[in-house]
Amino acid sequence: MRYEPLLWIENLEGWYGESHILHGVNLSVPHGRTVAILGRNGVGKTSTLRGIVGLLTRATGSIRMNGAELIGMPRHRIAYNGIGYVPEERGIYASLSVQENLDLLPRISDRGMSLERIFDLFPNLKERRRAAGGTLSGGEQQMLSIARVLRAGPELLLLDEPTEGLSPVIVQHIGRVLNALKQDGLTMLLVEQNFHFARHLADHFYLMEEGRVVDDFPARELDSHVEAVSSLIGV
Amino acid sequence: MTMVFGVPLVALASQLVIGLFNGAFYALLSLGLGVIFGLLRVVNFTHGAFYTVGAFAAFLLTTQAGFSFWSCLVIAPLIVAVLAAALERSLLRKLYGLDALYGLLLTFGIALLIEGMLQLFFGVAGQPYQVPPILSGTSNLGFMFLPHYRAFAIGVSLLLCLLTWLIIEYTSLGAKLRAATENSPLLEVFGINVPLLLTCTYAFGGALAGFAGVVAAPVFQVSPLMGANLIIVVFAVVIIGGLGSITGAIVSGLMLGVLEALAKVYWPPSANLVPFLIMAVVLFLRPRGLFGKGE
Repeated sequence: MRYEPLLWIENLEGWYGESHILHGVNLSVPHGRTVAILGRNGVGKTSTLRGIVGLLTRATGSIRMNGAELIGMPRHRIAYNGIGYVPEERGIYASLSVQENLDLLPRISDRGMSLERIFDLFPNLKERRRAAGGTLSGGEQQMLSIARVLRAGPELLLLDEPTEGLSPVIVQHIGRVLNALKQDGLTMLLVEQNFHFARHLADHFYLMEEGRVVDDFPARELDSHVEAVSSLIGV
Repeated sequence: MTMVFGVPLVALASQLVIGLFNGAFYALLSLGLGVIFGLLRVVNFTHGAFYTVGAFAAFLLTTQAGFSFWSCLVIAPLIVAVLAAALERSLLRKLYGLDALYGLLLTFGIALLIEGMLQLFFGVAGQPYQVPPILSGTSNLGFMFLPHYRAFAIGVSLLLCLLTWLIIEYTSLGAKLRAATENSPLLEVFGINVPLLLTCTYAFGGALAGFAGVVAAPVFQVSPLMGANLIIVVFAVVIIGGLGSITGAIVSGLMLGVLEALAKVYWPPSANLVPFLIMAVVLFLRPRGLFGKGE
């Protein structure tokens, strides 16, 4: 186990248009671990992920991935540091077929998954590979969104609300897949409203409020923090 | 003599060929405009000037440097592509994210600049450009005389349109272009060099216009205003086909050329109005154009 975390965010301030939405976020994600960010709507969880991939209008502070500074890096270079992004809105290209969506991303490492492995994890996608992305159900879109970045071979997966609006069966399926990926050593940073989903997956939790991290604790201390979490996100 | 609705078949068929010929230019130009608008969200008023520059490049390469028509078909579009890429990198790029009006004004200004400079050096009178000898004859098809050069121009333009369509619909480069049209910031996050893609697209659209200019040179005279005269009709074609639709640009370009030609046969005074009348009707019935999709 290396001591330096894979992702290290220090004093991240972020703006979206004119509004100042991140007020000094500090967090780190160690190699091979799954970290979850919890918090109410609009506290900056999604913005933190968007800041990592360069989608904010402006960001200051420091985001280091494997030691490389991401702030100020051209947006199209960021993925090559080993980052795979699964956006909240899923970002499926509606006019591209499932197959085209799967083949869209450039390989960023030799960890890129083969199509066989992808279809193993998500059999639904195999049946629908010729369908246009826009015709998929919400669950299929979420699977495709995850599958698509896995093809590229990231070291760190950024997942923004992967269970939002999905049926329990699909949520279970996605949970099983993410657990398998975790067993394989993939590092994940997860933003999740569904606390019950996150608690089965994450090794470490961060709580956010008003654009800052207000607390963090490892999964084994979860029980002593349940009350704080409940009052914060209302579960 | 065979008559069709009171018009001799020979006259009708000749007009149809002229219509297809004009339509091929409309298709090439509106295809480039459509691809550029789809990806860059820029209404490219420089497009007519690119067409003119293509024709002048061929004219100068042939008369000053002795290049053949065939090598001009390749070199002139490349020259226009380099010019377009330089414009995109130096000026147009700074306007992305602003209202589309800024891009429109900039490209309109550049068009005036290019046309003005050409007028300064060459005057407004047209320069003749020879049809290559191998294509100079006509064939008697029995019901009409087919000029070889026009047949060649229609064929090569359609081939280029078809090739462009195939690339966009069926290659991985085309998939990237379509994805960038839908959501380009996310595509960048995925590691695709979208700024480079935009430069190449603008250069490619320019090259298509430059190619049309070379093909036009032997038939229309090479003059600084040849593009300005054409581009207004091409915008009507883009709107009729549906902004951003590849199929729409090609089909409505050809259709409009043919309808214009038919109008010339049956009611000559209306010919110049036809594109705009059709545009008005299409806007009234299908505001997004014949092949346009809802946003």
